[in-house]
Amino acid sequence: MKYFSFVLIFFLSFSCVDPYLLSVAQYQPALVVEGMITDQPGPYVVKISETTSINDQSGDFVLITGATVILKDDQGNFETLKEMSTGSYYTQTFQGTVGRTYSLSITTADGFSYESAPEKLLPVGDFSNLRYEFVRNEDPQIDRQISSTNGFNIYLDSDVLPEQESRVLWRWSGTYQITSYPQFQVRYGDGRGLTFVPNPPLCSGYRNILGVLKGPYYPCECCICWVTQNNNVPLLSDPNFVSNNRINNQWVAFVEANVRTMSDKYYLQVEQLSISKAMYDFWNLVKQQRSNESNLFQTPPPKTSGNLEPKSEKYLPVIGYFAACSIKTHVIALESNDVPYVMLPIDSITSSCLDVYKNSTNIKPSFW
Amino acid sequence: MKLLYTLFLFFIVVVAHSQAILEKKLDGSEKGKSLSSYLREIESGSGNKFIFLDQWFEGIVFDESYSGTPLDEALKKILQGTDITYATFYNYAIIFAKDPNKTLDKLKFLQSVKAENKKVEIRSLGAKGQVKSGTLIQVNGTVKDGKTQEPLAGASVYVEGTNLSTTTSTQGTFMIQIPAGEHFIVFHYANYEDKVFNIGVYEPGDISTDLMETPRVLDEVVVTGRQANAVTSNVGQIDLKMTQLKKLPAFFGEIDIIKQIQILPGVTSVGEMSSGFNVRGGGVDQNLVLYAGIQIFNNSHVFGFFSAFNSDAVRNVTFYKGGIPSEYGGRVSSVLNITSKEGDYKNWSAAGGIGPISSHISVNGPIVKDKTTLSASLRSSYSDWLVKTLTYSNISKSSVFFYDASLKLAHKFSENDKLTLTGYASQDKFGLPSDTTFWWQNRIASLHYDHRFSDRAFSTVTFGFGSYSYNVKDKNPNTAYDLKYGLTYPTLKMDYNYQLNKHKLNVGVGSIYYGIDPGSIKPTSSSSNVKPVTITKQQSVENSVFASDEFEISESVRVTGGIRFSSFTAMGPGKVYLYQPNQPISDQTLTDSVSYGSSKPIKNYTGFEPRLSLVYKFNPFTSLKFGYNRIYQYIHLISNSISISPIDIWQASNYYFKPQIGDQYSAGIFRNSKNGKYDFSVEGFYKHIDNILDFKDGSSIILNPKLENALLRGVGLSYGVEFSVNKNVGRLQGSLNYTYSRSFRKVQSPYAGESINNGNYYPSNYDQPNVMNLTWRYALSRRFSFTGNFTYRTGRPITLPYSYTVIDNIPIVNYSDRNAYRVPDYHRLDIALVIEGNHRRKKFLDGSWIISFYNVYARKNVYSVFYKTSSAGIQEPYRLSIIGTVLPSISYRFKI
Repeated sequence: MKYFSFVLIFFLSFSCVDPYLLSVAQYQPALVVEGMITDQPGPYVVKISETTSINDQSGDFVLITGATVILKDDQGNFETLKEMSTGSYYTQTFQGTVGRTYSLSITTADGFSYESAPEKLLPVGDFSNLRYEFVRNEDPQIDRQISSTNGFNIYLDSDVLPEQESRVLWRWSGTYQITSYPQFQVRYGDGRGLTFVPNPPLCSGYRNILGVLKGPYYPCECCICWVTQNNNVPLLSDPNFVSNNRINNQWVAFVEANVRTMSDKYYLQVEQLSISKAMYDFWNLVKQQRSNESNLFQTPPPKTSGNLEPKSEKYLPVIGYFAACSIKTHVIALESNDVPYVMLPIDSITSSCLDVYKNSTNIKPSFW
Repeated sequence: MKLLYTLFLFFIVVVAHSQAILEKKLDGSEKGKSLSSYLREIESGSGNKFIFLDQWFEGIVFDESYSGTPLDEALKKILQGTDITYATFYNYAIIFAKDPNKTLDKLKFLQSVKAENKKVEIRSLGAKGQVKSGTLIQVNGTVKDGKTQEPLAGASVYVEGTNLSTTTSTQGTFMIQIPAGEHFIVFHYANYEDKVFNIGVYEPGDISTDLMETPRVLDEVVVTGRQANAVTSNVGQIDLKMTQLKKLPAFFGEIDIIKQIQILPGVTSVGEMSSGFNVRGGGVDQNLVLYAGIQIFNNSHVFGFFSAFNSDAVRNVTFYKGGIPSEYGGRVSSVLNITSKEGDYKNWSAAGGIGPISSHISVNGPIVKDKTTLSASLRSSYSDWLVKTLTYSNISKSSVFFYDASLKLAHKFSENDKLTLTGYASQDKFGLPSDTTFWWQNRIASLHYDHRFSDRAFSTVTFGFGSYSYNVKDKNPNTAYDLKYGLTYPTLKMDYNYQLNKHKLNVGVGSIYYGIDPGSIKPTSSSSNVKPVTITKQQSVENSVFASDEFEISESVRVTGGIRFSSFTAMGPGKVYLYQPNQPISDQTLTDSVSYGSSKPIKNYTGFEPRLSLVYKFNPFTSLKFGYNRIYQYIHLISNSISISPIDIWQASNYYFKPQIGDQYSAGIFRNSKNGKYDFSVEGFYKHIDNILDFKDGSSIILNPKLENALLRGVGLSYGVEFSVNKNVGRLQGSLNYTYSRSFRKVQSPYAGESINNGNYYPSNYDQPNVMNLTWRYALSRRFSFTGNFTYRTGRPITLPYSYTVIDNIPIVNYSDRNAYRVPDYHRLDIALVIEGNHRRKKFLDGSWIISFYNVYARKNVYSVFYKTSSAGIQEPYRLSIIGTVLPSISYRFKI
């Protein structure tokens, strides 16, 4: 029985997870089209670009220039869009009208042509009672408030017109102001040891003169910025929750309450759009794609395409859509004193406020 | 001493003498001479004596020159087609005999048997002269294990020197027709000692016998998938002997039945995390896995790392991948019938094993000698450390536990009546670091009654109860929930077997009730934000009637024809949602729903399933086989992952889901080399399956009351050819097989979004065109052997996100067509050193050590590609290798 206790195991590490790198041969670009005509005043824009390989996470896309983009309606009117900036094609005269049907045709400089399915511009109901509810998921951290799981859930009550057939899309953009102190930016000194020397960016108005911070010589141009956030998952109505042409208590957004988003106020603009079935299906697949969390038992991923079809013999695969939508817009402002505790503004950003966030501008928005 | 030496010398000289003349090469002078005159010519002065009668050789002339050919060979050629044979006697005489009964051949056979120390028993049925010679006489009997008295299924019984052979039934019985006369009948069963009867057959009778297990385990056969009866068995049928499995490299020392099935030709698996297996391009749910006659729904532990059957508790395993007999039905691709071990009727014994992950023990023996026996086994894991070593963080912080247990009680009321009670339970627990725990369990109990009416007729009745269930519990207060799924399936099967001359008849009925509890979720804490959902239970009944006839048309042709008639009824209570006609099925086209009362039929399906199997023997070594089967499958696995995972849903056919209908044609050629050292086979198949289910893009299946919304219906098609060669004897034994096969699916619909890949055929998840397996066992000495296997298969298809974009501030990933890419090819080498105890027949403890290395060259075989959302909101692909390194292990097995 001496064997019984004698169990030897040599064991190293076990399973492993590596990034999966696509070979160049496996990568196949697709054309991306994003265009929309609405019941709001024009001009309307159609953006054409190319997808980027999944292994390149830079977020830079090749823009497609020199394409012929024609917008048509069911009355026989048509207009060739004008490329105002690379890859962005604008209408000149067209005005979207509820009840009309629109379609788009694209011919790229390579001679590939595509056409959208006819999209009817459906009317949209209004929404009301845009409101917030503070959720406290954790006790506020005094020393570290630049991120928090606490914040505001945003709800609304929506009217759905019969023509919409229970389909609603919401989108939002939120804006907040950040303050930074770029004059205090430093870099490593040339000497031995860890010494720092002032390194203010030009926009701060300060200068490093012989190792000493001097100024301000000009007003700071990158000390106050406005950051824009958008919903990054599609917000779609669930037909099961539409009753008597109304959707009550529709959740649309969560706004994180931290020392930056709530330093002054948070301005949230919410849009409600009518969409066709093709658009709804497109966004629904994107939504499922996004909710498909990283787990070992994940479902086969949904393939998204949109409402464009290639028409020429040779073509790149195409994803995206050309949509016709009516839009209703409302805004709500969240004030810093809506947060039921005091946030200590101990956060100090020592670089240009333009560099801290991606969608950041130093031009004060008209509504601020 | 001197005398002995002289005798020895004399012996050598004389042997040399008679050998010499037969080996003497002819010089061409024989041409044109008659055989008798030539033999007389060379006889003179040679010291040899040819004994024959001149009239036998009348007209036999050396019509051509045999220059350079040994006399032995020349004689064989020239005497071909005559009934004259010859033999050497007393070392100098070569005796010719006119021998229509091949007495001399038999004598030679007897000499060879004696040389191999095989036992020869002398028996007789009736007295000589009772019947005219040549009359066919029916002989039957039962072949049993000499120790446990368990019947041996699949043992071969053949009449030496003829093409007559048969194999024993599952009850160990056989029946064979033999011409009246003196014969040698050989009983052969892998890993058992052959037995030879020298028997005079003059009237019908019983020649039952016992075979003893070979004590020298080193001479066992490696898993070849086939034994000596490969030539005679039906197409697509494979018997595995457990003793053969125990010498192969094992994953953590665990002998795994399912993993051994996966290396047979025509069988593949998608990776380490899948105990399920794919047979000839079929899905994992298309395999009927029976344990003691009852279906097992989840056949794995720890997501497929180990199979759920303790190999010590298993007696034998029969696997059908084609030509499936009519008594089986309900799954379209294969049948894996596992018979559990019955206790020894004479003595108590125990066996066990200790491995790094789990240990197992089994005991068996008589409760009442020769009457009642017990066999019990338990296997259990004892630590979480397996998962602690996984580097994928989600898994490594988790906990794992499993056990399986089986019990078998058998009681013989008489020689002809036996009642067996079998119980089996398996349990798994898997806990994730996020307070989520998965539990899943299989339970079966079956009562089996065998009755023998006569030597020709027996019947069996199986009544059993099975259940499979899982639940997922989350204890995080904000999300606490309890998710449940359950399936119960009481089963009844009765069959009656009758042997009538050249016919083996089998008729029976079967019935399975499926009670499915498709799931419920409820919050388990007051602050939980989980909404309770309960989906109504479903019930359905599958009934079948079957009949088959195995008909030995002649010595060389055997046909097995069968029919099965199945019917399936989905019953209330239930709710059926109705959708707009001529529209895709979706929430948007939902119009109404109809409720059905309890036990009211909702939908009924019937299936007519013909089966055919044909074996044509060209000679005792070569056969051509053909098989056809049609099978209806009424229960479907709705899996949201690629292999069987514990949270899969089994969905019975209903108003929307039609039964899968599989048609398979297979044909093959089998050949044994004459000395039995090698066997070869080539087998091809073509399979078509109707009504398979596949996912709609991005659908969800768990707790979905309208599953018809989430699934698309299509067809499956697969075909392939399998080559296999086995070496069955010698120090080096092994098998090599290669399969080329394809497996496709097609889902086509007139509605947008309802077709997959534009309605074209696309590779299924388990389409692996090239598969090769090499297995070997080399006996270094009587106690040490070096074993190994090498596996290669084409990487399986996957759907890849290969590019992305951002539209309206929302990142969108662009996926390839379904299954348009493949993971890199899979290959792996495993080796093991097996050290066995001494080979004395009587010893207290028979132990063996197995030192094995799994994945010797540490290849990171990619199991799957999955996606994580990056900070930019883009899904990035990652590849997961379940085993990223070499896994050494030592385990100890013993038998008392």
